[in-house]
Amino acid sequence: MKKTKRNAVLFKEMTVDMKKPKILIIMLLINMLLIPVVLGFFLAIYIQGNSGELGYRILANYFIAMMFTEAGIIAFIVPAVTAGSVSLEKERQTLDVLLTTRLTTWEIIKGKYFSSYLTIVLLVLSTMPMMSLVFIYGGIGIWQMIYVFIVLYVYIAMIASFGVFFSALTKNTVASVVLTYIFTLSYLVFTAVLPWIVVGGIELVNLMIYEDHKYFNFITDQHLIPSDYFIMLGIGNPFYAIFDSIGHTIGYSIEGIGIQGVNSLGEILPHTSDKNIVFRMFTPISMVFQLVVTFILLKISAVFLNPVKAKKNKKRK
Amino acid sequence: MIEIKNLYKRYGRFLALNDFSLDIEQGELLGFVGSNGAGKTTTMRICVGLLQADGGEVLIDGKNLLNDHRALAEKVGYVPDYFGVYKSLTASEYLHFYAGAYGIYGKEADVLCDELLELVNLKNKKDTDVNGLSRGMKQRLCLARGLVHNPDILFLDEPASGLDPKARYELKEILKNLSSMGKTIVISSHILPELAEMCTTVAIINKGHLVLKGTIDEIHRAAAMSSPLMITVAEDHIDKAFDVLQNNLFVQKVTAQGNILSVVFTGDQDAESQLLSDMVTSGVMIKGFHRQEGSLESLFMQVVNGGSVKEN
Repeated sequence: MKKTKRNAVLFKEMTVDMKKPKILIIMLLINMLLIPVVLGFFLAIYIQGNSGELGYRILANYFIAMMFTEAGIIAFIVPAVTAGSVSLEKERQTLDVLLTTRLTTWEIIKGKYFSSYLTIVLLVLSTMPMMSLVFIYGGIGIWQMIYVFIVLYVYIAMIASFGVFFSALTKNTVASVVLTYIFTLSYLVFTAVLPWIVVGGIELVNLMIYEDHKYFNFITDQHLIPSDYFIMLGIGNPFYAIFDSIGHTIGYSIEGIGIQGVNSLGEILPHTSDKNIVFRMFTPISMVFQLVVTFILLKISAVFLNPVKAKKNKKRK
Repeated sequence: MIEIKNLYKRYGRFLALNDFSLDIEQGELLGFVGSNGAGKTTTMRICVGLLQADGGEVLIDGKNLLNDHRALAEKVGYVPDYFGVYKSLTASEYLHFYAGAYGIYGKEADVLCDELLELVNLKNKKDTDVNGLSRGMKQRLCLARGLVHNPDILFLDEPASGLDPKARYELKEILKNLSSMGKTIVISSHILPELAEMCTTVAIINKGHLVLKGTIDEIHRAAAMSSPLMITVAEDHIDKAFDVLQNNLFVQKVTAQGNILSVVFTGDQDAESQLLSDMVTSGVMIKGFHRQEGSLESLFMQVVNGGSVKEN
């Protein structure tokens, strides 16, 4: 019998499940949620345009706000789309049969994951025309927009893997959805505040030990870790990557967030701004990090799904 | 050929399989009988790679395929005791999906799915939503799904459960048809007579252990042998008859109802003849001597309750 390499799960989900009205409803919902943001964008431009304050940087700020809104909406939609991908198979009692087919657990997970991912990609693509309205006023170029959307798709890839992971882990879709939301939110918040937690922690230690909060004595004075590098602890946060990907061309950088943010903690850091390659590569490094997290979670999901772990049976008396 | 050797499986403190061994010949249509919790489903799930055994091994054609997922999947088809069908799929789409799971697509899949639907008498339901099918139809569709990759071995877990007599008859005919194609089929049930109608061999499992295996003829004979001997003697010869019976090694228990003696006798037909001869020689006037008609249920009950039925 001739065997082809097509992933049956992916093929089925894409051809059959796409017929369901659910996808159209979510597409409508995401675009409706973006309408007020876009209208607000035009209103603000109109007001600022009349007052003569409008510049490229302001337009870019609005675009960042729109992308953050979209990323936020995605954070709520992706778990809903992905968290039932495997657990629904368990609930429908179809997983066992699927596991007895030629498909390996890795292929099943890949099929489930990519069908969910492509569905969300389609949803995000549907928002592109609305997002492209920024071209009317300029400030953002087509390649920049494509780059930001690539960053957005990597972010979607990662949080989609959260959903598939919890779906493989739990037997119940409700539990999977709840866990995915909690984990996604916790991950986004934790990776966002991690640099500040570390900086704040060090500052606290300084205060307690040296009773001095002027400098990071044991770090910066010895030039072991320049203070700006702390923002690199936020490499796992997709919002930083989105910000960095848009902000670079208009004079913002993730390095800037570090300095401004840490300064806001009490102006404790000296400005050691050197346009280091590490800062310029923040977004690509962040994307690689997110893709690695995605791959690891999917691999673990496949292991969870495997009913027979490869181990030697022992005869037991 | 399937060789199940010394399987052990424990769920917490419950020992589901306890040194379970069973050989299934190629082309056999084996009825796998046991009461609920006896270990039937556990055995099947281990054989199809859905469960890890704690000990023992399963050899298919001499090879342990349990750690070779693809080879096992090619060799074995499995129909569990639940339907597990996807909503919003037609019968044809359902089969196409599973054909795809075995790497069969396009025209090849179209032809295959049509053939399978014809085999299970569902060709006219090809475009019907799976949810709209009756229980019997769903069961037949699941059977077709289990055959989509043309496996040599088919494991069916309680396939006749909940089916009406017509659906059961149709299923029986399909299974006989498949058996005639040379497929090895293992069907589990907790109802022995149900399997006796369609199987060539029966294996009885109790508390995770094989207690009996034999052909249907052997099982029927065993059932007959498991029934009591009914001996009618002249009324004034009852005491004399008791004396003879008490001295026979195969007599387990004798109860009298008037001049009819019910004898639990574990010997075979030769031993029966010898007993009759001994009674006649001892001067017992015998008016009747026969085995009570044996039922498969009574055999099953006797076996699972620890009775002494010979293993073939």
